[in-house]
Amino acid sequence: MTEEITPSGRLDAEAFLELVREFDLRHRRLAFRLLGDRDRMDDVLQEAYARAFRALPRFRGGAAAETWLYRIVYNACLDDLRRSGSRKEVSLDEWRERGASLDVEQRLDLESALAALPVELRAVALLVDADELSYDEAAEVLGIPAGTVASRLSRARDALRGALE
Amino acid sequence: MTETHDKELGSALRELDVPEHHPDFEESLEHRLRRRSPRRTWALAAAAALAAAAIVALVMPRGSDVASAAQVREAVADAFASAGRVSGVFVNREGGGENRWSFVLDSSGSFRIKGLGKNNPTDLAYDSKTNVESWSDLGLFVRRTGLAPGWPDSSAAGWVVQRGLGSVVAALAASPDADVDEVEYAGRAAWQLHTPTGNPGEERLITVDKETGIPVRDARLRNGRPAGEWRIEQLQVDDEPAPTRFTLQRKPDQQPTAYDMGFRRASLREIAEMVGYELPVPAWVPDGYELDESAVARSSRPTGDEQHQNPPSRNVVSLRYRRGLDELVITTRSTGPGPSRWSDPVMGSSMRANPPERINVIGNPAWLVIDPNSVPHIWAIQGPHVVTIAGNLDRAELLRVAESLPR
Repeated sequence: MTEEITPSGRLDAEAFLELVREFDLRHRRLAFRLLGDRDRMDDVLQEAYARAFRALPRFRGGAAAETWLYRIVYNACLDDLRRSGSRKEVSLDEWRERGASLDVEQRLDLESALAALPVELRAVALLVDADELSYDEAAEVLGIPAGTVASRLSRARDALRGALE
Repeated sequence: MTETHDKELGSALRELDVPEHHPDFEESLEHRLRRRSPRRTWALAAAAALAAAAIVALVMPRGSDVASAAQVREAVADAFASAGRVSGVFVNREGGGENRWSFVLDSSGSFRIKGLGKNNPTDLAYDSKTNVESWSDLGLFVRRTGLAPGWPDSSAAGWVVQRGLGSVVAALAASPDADVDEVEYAGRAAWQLHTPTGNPGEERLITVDKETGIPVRDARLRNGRPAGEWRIEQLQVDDEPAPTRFTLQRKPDQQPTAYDMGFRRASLREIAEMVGYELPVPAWVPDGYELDESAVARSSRPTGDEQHQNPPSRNVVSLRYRRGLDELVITTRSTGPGPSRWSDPVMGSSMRANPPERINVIGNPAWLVIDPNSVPHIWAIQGPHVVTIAGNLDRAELLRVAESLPR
């Protein structure tokens, strides 16, 4: 089946791409840190954005657009991890790039500590501390109660703070 | 609960490198989005709504996000329209027993359904390119060719589609006012609807995955107690059609059996020459549907059920329009000498939960059937022909298609 692209079809995709661009850095951070690989990050974000586009007609504004998109990205990451059966296997090779104010040792320690965390703890630290989502927003993205966000965050911070000292 | 943000840790996490996309990422995504934009006008409005919501959400508290039954139905229709492939494990539970099948449905119409476990040796495949269905079950190997494009004739719609996903579509169409609850199912956000089955004391509890719009569970309750269910596990919805092979090879120890169901694919012009009457080509179909198969049969199996079998079907024309996994099938066939001997070709009367609605279509009496036990459809006697229109359409769409048929 072929579809003819109409002017409105172009505008649909363009409007959606604008939204994607706005949140893309955060999504890349989450996907890359969960999956540990640039190729997988791109594959998963392609799939997640396509899913979100398909689901657009069902988005009714009850939740913030940011958390709605985040949740789709997070679920796509989990699907990919399940398929590959590697929920905890994260290569550090691609993570080791330049940092800014952190010294090299701190950065490597932090990356190692983050990579060693279970996916669920890694995600909550990235959402709340790196991306500054509220507990309620993070709960909505992760599909867990806000209380669980707090307890997971506490455990994640305990593990990560050590790397900065 | 005190909410805290660890600013130092947050800053450190943000300093870690985040790779850029590959150079072709956005181009590839754009191509993908434009290719899969089945309801463009709607998507445009929704994109605008999303952009607005992103702004509004900054200044307004969140409201209720509970959808109506009509919106859930729209979500399911949209999911079927845009999916290239749906796969997973289909689980059927009846009378204390449970059977499982892995399945792949493809937007070309092909499918593969394979029993899981020692006691479930069924393997069923349909290749839409060749119009051949193969069925392997222990010592049996059945091959069906000449299959019809769809309702009400013998087609290759696997029972997973017909009895599973298709029945949910029918139930949603028949229950526009059903209550909808927001639930979590298998760790994912979902909608749950209570719909009647038409049997006293019985109801259905339908669960639809919110993110994909695919129905994932259909449970029957009798007097409030579980009376059977099917569900989909490991659901996966993809844009692209499946790379799966949809043909089976007969094993040496299997007994081969072959059936020809009588339909032959042909162009509209060829079919018109063969049957000698004007084809039921509608001037209007819903956005996104395209004609993907036209076929003709000199004769095919009678329609109807055991209680009322219709006269033999002669000079049958069947046109199928497709939008993703959705199908719309329009057929005509000769009434033969006794038009009054015909009853609903699509749905046997014994299955009926709702009475058919008597309507008029281009000046002829017709019956509109929106029933939880059947695909939504219209059927009519128009001169020397029986006409059927069946598909996952709402009432207004069905009527509009019917009114656009040639007089």
